[in-house]
Amino acid sequence: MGKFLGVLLWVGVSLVGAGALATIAFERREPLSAVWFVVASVATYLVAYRFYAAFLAARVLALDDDRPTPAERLDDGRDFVPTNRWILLGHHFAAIAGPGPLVGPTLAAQFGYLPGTLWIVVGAVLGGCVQDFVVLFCSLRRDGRSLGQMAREDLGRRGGAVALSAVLAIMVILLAVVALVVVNALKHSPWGTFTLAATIPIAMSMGLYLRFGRPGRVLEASALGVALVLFAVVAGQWVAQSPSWAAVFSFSGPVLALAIIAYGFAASSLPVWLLLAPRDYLSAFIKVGVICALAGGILLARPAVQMPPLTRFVDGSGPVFAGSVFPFLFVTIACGAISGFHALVCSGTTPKMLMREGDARLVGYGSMLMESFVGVMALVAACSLSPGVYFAINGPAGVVGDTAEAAAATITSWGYPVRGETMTGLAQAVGEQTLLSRTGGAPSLAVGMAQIFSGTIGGERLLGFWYHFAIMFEALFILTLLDAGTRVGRFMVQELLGRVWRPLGRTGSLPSTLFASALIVGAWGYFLYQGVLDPLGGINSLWPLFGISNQLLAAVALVVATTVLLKMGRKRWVWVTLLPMVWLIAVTMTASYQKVFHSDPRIGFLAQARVLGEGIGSGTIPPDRLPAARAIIFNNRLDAAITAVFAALVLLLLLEALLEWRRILSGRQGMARQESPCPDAGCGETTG
Amino acid sequence: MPRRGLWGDHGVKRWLRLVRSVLREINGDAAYEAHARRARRRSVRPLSRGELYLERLRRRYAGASRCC
Repeated sequence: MGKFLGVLLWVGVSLVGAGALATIAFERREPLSAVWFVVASVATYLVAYRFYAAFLAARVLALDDDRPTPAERLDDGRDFVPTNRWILLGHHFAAIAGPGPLVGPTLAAQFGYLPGTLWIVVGAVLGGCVQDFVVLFCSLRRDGRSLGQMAREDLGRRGGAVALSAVLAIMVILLAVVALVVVNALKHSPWGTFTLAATIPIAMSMGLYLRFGRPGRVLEASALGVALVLFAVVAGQWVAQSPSWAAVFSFSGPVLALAIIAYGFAASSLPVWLLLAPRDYLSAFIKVGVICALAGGILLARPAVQMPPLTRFVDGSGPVFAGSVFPFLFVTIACGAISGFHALVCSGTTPKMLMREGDARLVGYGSMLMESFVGVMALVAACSLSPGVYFAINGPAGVVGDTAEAAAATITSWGYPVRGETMTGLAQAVGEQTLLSRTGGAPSLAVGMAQIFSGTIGGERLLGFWYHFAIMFEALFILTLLDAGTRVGRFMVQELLGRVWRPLGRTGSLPSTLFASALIVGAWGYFLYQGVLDPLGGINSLWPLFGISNQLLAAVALVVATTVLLKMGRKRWVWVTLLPMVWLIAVTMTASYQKVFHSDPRIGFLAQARVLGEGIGSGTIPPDRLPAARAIIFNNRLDAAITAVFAALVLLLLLEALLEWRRILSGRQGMARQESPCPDAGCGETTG
Repeated sequence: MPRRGLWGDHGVKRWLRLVRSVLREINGDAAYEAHARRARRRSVRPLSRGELYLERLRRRYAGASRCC
């Protein structure tokens, strides 16, 4: 009877999910309620977790709860700590969910709601969750080795070198692009800038409290910090309303970029307890709180999705970023569907804390499902704006025009009516001078979130507060990522420099720390500054570059995972990693090729450099714009070279893997698994 | 005799205690008690609360701990 009810329940969940997905895909009569998106995604996640994740755990990976995990065998109370699976789920989710699943889906909303929704849900269930789960498993069976170490051991030294190079390169591009999102959200915004600036002394006070006041009492310090941050959001309005203070906190894009570069250098060099760790605690609390509030807000306010299912920009002519749905949707939404960067977190701390092998399903597969849900909510928030408003906020001035009237005329001519007064009124309602051409996704998402929140609490009166709360929330954990990423990048640079001259590799040495920090900050700072000066908004070139590198890293992780499955003798099930890997290689190679060689100057880096070069040659570019034009030409060539190098590295790794797979499948090579030996006699059976 | 009712040991108070203990586990506040228990079991000197806090931070931020 119980089994029958269970079957009935899952049939019901599947039918509800299928019905909701069909409504999203085919309903055309009136604006859809956001609740359909929540129902469709949650039902799909439940079915995927119950059946596909269970299949992966039982048949493909053969998880064995009797096999002691590294946390049990090597328990030292520091690195290896057996941890309750629900606690670990919280830790792991906080580690993988950053600004990516918010920004990517918001940018991809230019194609309409349908392509993004389908990719986020299907990509996560069949790709992202599988990658995270299998990499976590591989690392678990190897005492918590990193992706780079596994690539070196299972694919040879070249594989390891490719993985390491890809990680360093992606880090530079990632940090530049997220910093650009912050700059575009805060330029000429005294309210937002004050609020974000206030988080620095708040975090440092928390750091001092945790270090010298009440060491390690994170809950107390975080509660105090969250209260102060909320007060800073309120105080930001007073700053914006005071002409003298507003002038102090109002900066142009280039000035903000320089300030963030200086901040990144300081954060990388300062002790971790002073700024990075307390900001991380603050950000984690606010992140989880806001995500829960957004889910609750969508269910309570039930906003209507105003964006059409497909816009005219599926052909590649979009103003937010150029390029057609295939391949650019799949690199624009990386985090939320599948993100290679997760493989680094899955092969770092988490596998050293799993209490039982079976917990890997909840932690690896489950937390990626949660991130995917964050992506769906971000897409819903962006699509709940009227399309005209969305394009006015996200379209660069170089495309839509630099006044409200010009932008309104351009966007209305595309078939998405908007009036100049609407944009002026909206900017006033949220306490900003303008919302036009704030590229990067953060402001449009903040407007969408503010409308959802104010629809639940406070109404129009609190729209400004909610907008700046949302901006603070996005910028806060972008800065956390900037801090943590710059520090990891610094360690990687020091490791490389240490091979050239040993003293440069000492992480405890101040000159070495300052030198390596300057190099890594200089690298991402260069791309950030060029992005700020770019007339197309910077996001147009940097976000696809980030997406391509992130997805290439995912391809690297899936190549390693496929190799491990083959070595485990799981030939029959190898498609679970092979299919997403083939898809990602097809997507990233097409995107890389188009970004380098496409004849449309808005898509192809070399085409844009050529057009500008011809402009300089023919004298059509005014003399005062010549230095900027030459800089853009150089940057386009640099971006083209970086894209080509990324793609070549991954093709090299793939070739290496194909040779290895041939050796394994032909039986010429024994299954030289790199797993840690199983200490008990019985559990070795399950390793294949 | 435990207090009954909405606020009693089986009511809101119990849930608040549970929420607090989950939060302490998630943010690492509870790590020190676990460390001290482990040290006692192994008859070694436990680190001080401040030392353990710094040690945990050093390890957490040595690798990729935050994603995009």
